[in-house]
Amino acid sequence: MGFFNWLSERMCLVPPPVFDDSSVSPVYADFVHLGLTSDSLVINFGLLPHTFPWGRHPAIVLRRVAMDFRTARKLLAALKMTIQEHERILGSIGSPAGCAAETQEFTSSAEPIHPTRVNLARVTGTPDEVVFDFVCDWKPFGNVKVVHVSDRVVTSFRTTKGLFERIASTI
Amino acid sequence: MGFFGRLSRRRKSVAEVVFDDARVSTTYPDWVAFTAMREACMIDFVLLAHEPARDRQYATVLYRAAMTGYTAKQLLTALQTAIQRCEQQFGKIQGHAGRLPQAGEIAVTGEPPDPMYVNCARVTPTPEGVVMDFAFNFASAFVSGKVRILHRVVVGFYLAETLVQRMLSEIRDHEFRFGEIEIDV
Repeated sequence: MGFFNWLSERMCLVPPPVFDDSSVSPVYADFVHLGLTSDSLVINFGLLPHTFPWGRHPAIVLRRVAMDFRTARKLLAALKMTIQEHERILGSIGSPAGCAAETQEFTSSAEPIHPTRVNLARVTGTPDEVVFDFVCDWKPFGNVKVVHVSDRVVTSFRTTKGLFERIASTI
Repeated sequence: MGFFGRLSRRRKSVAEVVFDDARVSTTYPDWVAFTAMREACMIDFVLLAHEPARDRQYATVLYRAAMTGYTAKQLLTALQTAIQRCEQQFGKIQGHAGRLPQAGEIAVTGEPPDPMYVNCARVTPTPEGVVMDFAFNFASAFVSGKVRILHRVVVGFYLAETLVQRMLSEIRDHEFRFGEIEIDV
């Protein structure tokens, strides 16, 4: 038995954690941008350029999360399941959005955003939106029942489909 | 029946949701802007400051709420109802439509806050204005339970009327381009 099979079996024995989201605020994002390092995948969630009454704002990054490839694969599976279930019940989502050429140029906010390291991601599809909860579970094998959500990002299904396709092609 | 029409049958109304307003922060803006985008709508609650020497206005975005067109339309209906009640008692309210400063006349100071996503908005009319509670109902209003209010915004009736007029015109444009947003069937 390989290391990761052993690891998966161990993790299956641990009861699923309870997510504590009492101190987190959901941030809306309509584009995703992927970064790749040798050992992790970095997902940037941000806002596309929009014209507000005070002028046009450039695209900005709001949240940046980094995860290892094992977590990324699990996130990919969760995204696939969420999209399939949504399309089965409510019909086709349409073409993916929030990625590709339109997000080639973006600027970070005034202060650089440091990536949050996560090893657990929960994807919840509601009829309107997809909610991403990112957690750094620092005691995955202990009897910890409660994990604290560090970042909560909400995107539309079209943006989520774009993210799914980007992660699938990257991995 | 469209997408949102199918959903509306499965939702709980805002009146059925129990809100938890412990430790909620409150904003008192003096200007408001509404922007409809392809996937979502955004409301900026703004504090304006005027610099007489340069005859220039500065805006600080206090709170930015992002929501779907469905939630925006629900909020619009609730605001219209609240204003209607007020007008029945005190007479016609004139909004500030058409007086919004142009892009060149106003400068935004500081970084605008991150757009906080909300999918539930409660409007409470008071004798002096309207209290808007923005919340994120994780269960998407299908199950019972308390919903934590993320932010509370208090505006006067004039500003509420301005917001209604902005929302009406932006939502009309949005529906013209992307199709009707159904909230009730």
